[in-house]
Amino acid sequence: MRSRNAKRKPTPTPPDHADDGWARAKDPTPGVCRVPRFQPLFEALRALKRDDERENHCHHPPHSHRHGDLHPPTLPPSVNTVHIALFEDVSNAQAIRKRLIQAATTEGEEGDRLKAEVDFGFLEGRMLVSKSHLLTAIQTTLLNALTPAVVPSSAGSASGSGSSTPNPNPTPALAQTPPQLLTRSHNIHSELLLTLSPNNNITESIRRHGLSDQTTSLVVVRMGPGPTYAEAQEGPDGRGRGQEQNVDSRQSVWKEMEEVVKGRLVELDQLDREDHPDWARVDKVYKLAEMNQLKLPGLRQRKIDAVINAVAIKSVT
Amino acid sequence: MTSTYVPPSHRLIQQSELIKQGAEATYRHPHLDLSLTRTRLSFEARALARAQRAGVSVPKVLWVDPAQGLLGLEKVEGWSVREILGGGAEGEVEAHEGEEEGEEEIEGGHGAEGSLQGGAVVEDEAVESEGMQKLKQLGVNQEHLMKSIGAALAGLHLTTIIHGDLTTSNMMVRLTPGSSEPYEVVLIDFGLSSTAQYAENYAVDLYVLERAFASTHPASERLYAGVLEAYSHGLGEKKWQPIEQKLKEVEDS
Repeated sequence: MRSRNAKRKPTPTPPDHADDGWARAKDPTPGVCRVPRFQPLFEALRALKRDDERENHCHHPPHSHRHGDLHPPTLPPSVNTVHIALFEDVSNAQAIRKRLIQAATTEGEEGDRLKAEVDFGFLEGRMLVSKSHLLTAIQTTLLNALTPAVVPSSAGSASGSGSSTPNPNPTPALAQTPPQLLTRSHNIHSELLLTLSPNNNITESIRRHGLSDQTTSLVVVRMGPGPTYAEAQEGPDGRGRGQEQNVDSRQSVWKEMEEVVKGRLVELDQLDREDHPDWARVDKVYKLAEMNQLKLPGLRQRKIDAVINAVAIKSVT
Repeated sequence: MTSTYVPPSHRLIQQSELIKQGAEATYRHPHLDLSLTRTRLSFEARALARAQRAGVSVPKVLWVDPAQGLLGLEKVEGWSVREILGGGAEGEVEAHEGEEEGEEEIEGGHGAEGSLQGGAVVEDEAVESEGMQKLKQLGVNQEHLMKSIGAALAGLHLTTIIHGDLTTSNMMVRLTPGSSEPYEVVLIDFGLSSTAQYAENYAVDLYVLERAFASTHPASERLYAGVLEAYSHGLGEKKWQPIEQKLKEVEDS
């Protein structure tokens, strides 16, 4: 895989950040960070698979069980690009909320248009304890939404019991699942709120982690389409159509965000500031009161880690 | 279990990552294997989260992919306790030992001191690892390390989680600059962990560790005694007593 580094325009970012795969807030389009597609993660997984491949030459579509190999692209083009922006001093939280409600309640073509305008994840900034909290939530949301539902019911059927011939498809129920998003809530953006929530109550997750009338610190997330894996690799130095599309999408998404949110765009790293989160509320939602009793060094970091753990293990709780 | 290290440049979240794949048993029916792997994986992830909340230092969980039986964990930077105590290849240890002892004799004067304090001390100095050197620079000796291990185990057992595979390789020492303590003991690999029901479960956990100490480290009795002392202290008299009882039973049998 070509390094993503080569595909990005040279920016005045410090050299130690140059190859970490993150577009920085200082990129040409101010403030809108583009999260790289998840290639690195899955690249590593493919490396893990290589040994299996030698013995097992079956070919499954992506997202199939680990008996097969993992082929790119692993994130379907419909959600392989994530844009994130952090706004401070947001003055129109109430108006955004009204717009969201109106969009949700309007039907027909008009409703679709309104929905498209506010097709973002709106997160209460003070409920995020660090940047990695947000990123873990996004990663977990996509991973869970793309993971085919577990189908234990078919486990009893004797589909794969004939072991005399190598079974090319040991888990048919999983392998046939198309790579579409499986969400428990309305869409992938509300699913993000649900991932952030320590329980599975959708209404509660919106109330706690979503936009409220009092919100002044707001994170806006768009998980959307981007260039396909092949397009991103196209051309010399990987500067194919993918690169142009990335720039295009950054500018157009920023325009859409700007149109909805009235606030001051700041760097995402502001989330890591010690006084940024509303710890009283975080403690309550993530049930961290007990941790406050711990007589241990580095309590703040421990609490941040506990919150990240809670989000990361969401699919198995 | 297979673990794959993902270097910093190959990760989504800026964090060194270790990808763990559940052991795949080809002799099992794939469906059964799949569900077993999932169950274990989710238990491991939950156990890590629970231990972390209770203040036990364990690797952070970064993501869980139950469908593929994969677990993304934080890579713990540091040394395993095994490395620190110099329990590498046994032969290597002895070779070093001989060399160093010889040097001391040439320098003169140290021979008597060595024999006074017993062989163990000479061995410690002889095979001093990179990690131990670092710890010594920070004013931490082996006894202190054993205490920290005991305290970490007590902390874990207080959550009713038992590790299931306690060896000196499954404990890491991570330096914590800027904190009140210079280092912390991080327990890793919860792949065989479970929830304890009886005092015996805890005792078995400790017994496994004792065997691990005995088989990999010289002067293990002294080291292990230090661990146990801190452990009992951390657990409290009331909880320690039944475990002590069981431990004796296990050892005698």
